[in-house]
This record gives sequence, C-alpha cells and structure tokens, in this order.
Amino acid sequence: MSESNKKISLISSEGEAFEVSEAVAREFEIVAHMLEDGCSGSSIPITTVDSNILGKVIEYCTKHVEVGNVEGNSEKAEKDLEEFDKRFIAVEMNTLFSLILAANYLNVKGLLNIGCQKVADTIKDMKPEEVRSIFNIENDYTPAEEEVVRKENEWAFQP
Amino acid sequence: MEKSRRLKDRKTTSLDTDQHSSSPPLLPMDLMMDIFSRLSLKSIAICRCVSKQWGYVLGHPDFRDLRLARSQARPRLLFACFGGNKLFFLTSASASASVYRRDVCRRSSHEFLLSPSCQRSIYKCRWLCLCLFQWLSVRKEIHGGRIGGV
Repeated sequence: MSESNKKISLISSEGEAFEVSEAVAREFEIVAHMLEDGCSGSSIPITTVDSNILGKVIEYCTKHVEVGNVEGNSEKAEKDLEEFDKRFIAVEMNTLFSLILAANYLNVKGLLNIGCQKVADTIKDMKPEEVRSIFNIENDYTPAEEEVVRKENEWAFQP
Repeated sequence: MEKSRRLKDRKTTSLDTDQHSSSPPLLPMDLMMDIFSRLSLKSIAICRCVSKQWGYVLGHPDFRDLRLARSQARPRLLFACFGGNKLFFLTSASASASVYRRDVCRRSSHEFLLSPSCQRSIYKCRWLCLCLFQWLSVRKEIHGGRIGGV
C-alpha cells in the first residue's frame, strides 16, 4: 500500500477504528456512495457492525482489491481467490449470518453472494428439525398440520 | 490493513456476533428469499415443513417467479433416459453460464458436469435417448423443434 493512497477510517459499533485504503473502503458500496457524494470525511462510522465482523469484511475486501489490482489477471489468481473465498466463508453459523447481514448493509455484493450460497449449501441436505435448530425457528405447525405438509412433500423425504 | 483498538469493552448491537451466543442473528426475509432461491426443489420441499411462515413463502407465486428467474440465469442440462422400463430425468450440476458454456465446448457428451451418482445412473441406463436442454444458448433450437439426441 503506497503512502500516497488516501486512507479512510471505518469505525465499528464499538468505536474501534480500522484504517484502510480508499480502494478497499470503496468496496463497501454504501461507503463508495458517501465518498462520491462528498458527505463524509476520512472517518466513517459503521455503527451497526461490530469490530469482529467489520475486520472480517475488510479482510475480504482487501484481498479482492489486491487480486483485482494485479496486472494480467491469470486463471491461477482467480483460482486462488476462489480458494480464499472458500476458506473465508468456512465459519460457524452465527458468524456467517452476521457476515451476511453486514455484507447486505454495506452492500458488498461478492461477500453477500458467497454468504448466501454457503447457507444454502449447508441446509440443502438437512431435515426440517436440523434447519429449525440452525435458524432458531420454533415449529408452529400443530401435529395434524405438520402431518399434512409432510405428506404433501413426502417425495422429498425419500432417499 | 492497519487498525487501532480504541475500546476494549464490547457493546452489543443488532449485527453483533457473539461466538458463544446460542441464538443466531435473524436474517430478514429478503435475504432468506435469496437463500431459498438457491436451493434444489427437494430442499425447498423439506424447508416447507420447517414452519408456517416458511411453508407460506415457499409456496407463494412470488417465490416461484424468483426461482424461475434464477434458474434461467444458471442454465443446466436435463437428461432423460430409459433404464429398464422406467424413464429417468437427471440434471447436471449447477454451473454459472460462463463455466457452462466453456465446458460444453470442451467436453464430450458423457463428461458433462454430473455428480458421481448421476454418472453412475447414466452408465446403468441402456440408452441415453434424449439430451439437452439449455435454456439460453440452445433455446432457439428447441423452439424450432430440433432437439438433438445423443
């Protein structure tokens, strides 16, 4: 990162400052719009994202900006980035949900995409009981209603 | 990336992550719809049994439209083949349009992006009579009634 690069401070919900290059900050579309509109200084509060998650989102954006800056982007670089994404998103569910919420709020489309895909991949082979426990959902079907809906979707429960 | 820690005490907000918390943060329904639209029909059918709300949104025409739009953006191959006296339908693994097109150009017909179980099923079949449905690039041919057999 060269000295001439403009630095932006992103402030987490706890008041912790993360100093990043403008290029990285612009990966957050919400920040990019603020910068374009000239309605922000060099310090931008991200009040709904905590330090842990903001640090992770910045890590993701930094990596993607670095790879994007490499001249003559090779297939290998793309593959490395895919590997990075795969490792990056391999977190426990609560963190994953928080990353998705932060990516949605900050409008980081790539991260939102891999986050939603990871959740879909995780629940795709699960039973309803397991899905309920992941999302902390209460089963509000009565036993009779549940029997009906299970019967309607019986084919999906067959191996 | 440089960072300076100003405060050590953490306060909770709606997006806070607590690794030890038992209840995950709630995802709003628009994000859930995005996730649902990535699921297979089988997973969607199972998810309809999770709760009344999920059952409702997953059966709603709006969701079907969303899923159709996503499905058309990610073309896949549909194989129909006879095995014994039964007709089987198999689809290739999901792939983005660009990956799909690259692979279609490069691979021979029996090497399409099928999961191992699909491949085994195909090899068991006596005839692979009908292949290929590709909504984007072959659409014209299908509409013109020239569906190719393999």
